[in-house]
Amino acid sequence: MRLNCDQAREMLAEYLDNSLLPEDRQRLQLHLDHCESCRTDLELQQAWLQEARPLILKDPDFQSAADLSQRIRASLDRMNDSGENHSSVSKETPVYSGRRIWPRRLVLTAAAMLVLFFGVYAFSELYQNTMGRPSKTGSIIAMGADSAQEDGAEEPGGVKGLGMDDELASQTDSMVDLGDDQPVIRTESLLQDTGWTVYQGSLADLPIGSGLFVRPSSDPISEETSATETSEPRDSADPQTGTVLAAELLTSARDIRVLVRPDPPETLIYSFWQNGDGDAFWQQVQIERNDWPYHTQIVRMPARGEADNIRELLGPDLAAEVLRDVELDNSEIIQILIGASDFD
Amino acid sequence: MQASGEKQLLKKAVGGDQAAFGELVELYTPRIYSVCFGFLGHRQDAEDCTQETFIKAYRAISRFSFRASFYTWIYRIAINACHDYRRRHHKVTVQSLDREMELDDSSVPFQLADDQPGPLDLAELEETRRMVREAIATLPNYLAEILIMRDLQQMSYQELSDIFDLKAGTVKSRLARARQQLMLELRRREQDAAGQRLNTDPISDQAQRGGEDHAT
Repeated sequence: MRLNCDQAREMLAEYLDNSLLPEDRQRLQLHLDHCESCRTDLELQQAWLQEARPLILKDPDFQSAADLSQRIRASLDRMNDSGENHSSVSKETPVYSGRRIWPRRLVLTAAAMLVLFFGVYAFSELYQNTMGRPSKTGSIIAMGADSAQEDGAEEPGGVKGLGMDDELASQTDSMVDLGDDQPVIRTESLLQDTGWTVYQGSLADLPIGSGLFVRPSSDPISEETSATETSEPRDSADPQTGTVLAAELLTSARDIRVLVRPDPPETLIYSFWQNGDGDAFWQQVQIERNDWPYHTQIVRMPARGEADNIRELLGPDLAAEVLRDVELDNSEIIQILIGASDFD
Repeated sequence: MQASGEKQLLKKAVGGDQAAFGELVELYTPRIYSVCFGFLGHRQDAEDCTQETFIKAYRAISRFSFRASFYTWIYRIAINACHDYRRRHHKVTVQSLDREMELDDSSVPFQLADDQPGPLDLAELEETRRMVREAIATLPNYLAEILIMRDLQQMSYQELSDIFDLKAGTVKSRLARARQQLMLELRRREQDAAGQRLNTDPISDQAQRGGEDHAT
């Protein structure tokens, strides 16, 4: 079977390493013989490896100074002398889990955009089991959960879907210290921890118009999961107007739900479900509004082919680029999350 | 990758043994520094970032879970620290995804300065080196991190999969894309530099015209 360009591209690195199996090498060679674009890719990679990369590897500054580790150790010693030690940052508060107390690992940088991803299957199941009461905080909007509608969870405060009981709400109040002394786990790491693949890193680094695409790196959610209609979020904004995209997050699979606060409150609380390894749990972070540069909105797109939705949102050129790396599985898209402009 | 001695150190460090953590610092400083240098391209920045990495690690070590290996964990912290450092210091221009194929003529090979004789060799080498460093800095984080960890740190695809929690195929396709995007950026910069030389140096203009027909 002939290779397509995506397959060929995945093989180029190993081709250059001389680690491809002979039959794969032959298939790639056949592709290269007929594909100018991939030949150009190969030539570029060779130029990097043979001409440019050695300049960095041979750069004297690429090697650390002999005394660097000593200096670092000395600074750690000074920290200890000043009374700070590694236990002093154990301000972590256990995060509520539907099934267990899970140590909070997620602290985001002040400017990072936080979004909530959770498997709807886990959500609907665990929501019913453990989170029956709707939130009274008004700080979270959930879209798309069956259980939300069944429970009639909409509250005057704009809360739909995900409920948060009082105990949990009180936990979240003291949950996160965003001081510099916390290990920084950025958005992309957060998402990686959930098993989702992020194509672009920190939203804080994204220029206007950048694309961000999220998809499952595996399929952790059951096939039983189904696309469901949901309530519209209150302040859902038209993506074509108003605060337009500093970044776009596209969720692609039918098993994704997105939680986001459409109207920035003083404190944002973001959560997501992770469903993996046979266990589902809930992680949550909180961030002060002052530290939060993005307004965040949800727009639910019509249930069509996801490629069409992506093209509509991103425009044909950027969509072509995004879709180049993505295998679409013909599942209908359910929601698209848009992280929009600065508060200012 | 994790020797038993290192494991012992790690256990002690997690238990609060500061000396053991110091030993881990000794072991990992060269690697973490070169990661930081790959991202930041400046010795002082890389040293600062290396220090930040170990301070963050030190403060978090009590929460280290042995489900992940230490190098995966510390590299993640380092990479996050680098991303954060880049963002804080605004030393990076992140490209949008639709910008990478703008170069009109990609057939121009990357020209190294080292075939040009003369007393300026060293300066030109450093200039080219700087150009490469700056080009790396234009890569978006998700590409830069793969490129640096593979091509400068020489980690295996499996290790990269572990660190970034990506499928091997995704690692490879990102690597390909990172290399490609980097070289396009380098050529663009080289063309710009050649263009500037042509505009400012009529003698050099004539001398170089033969080899750089593509320069604009």
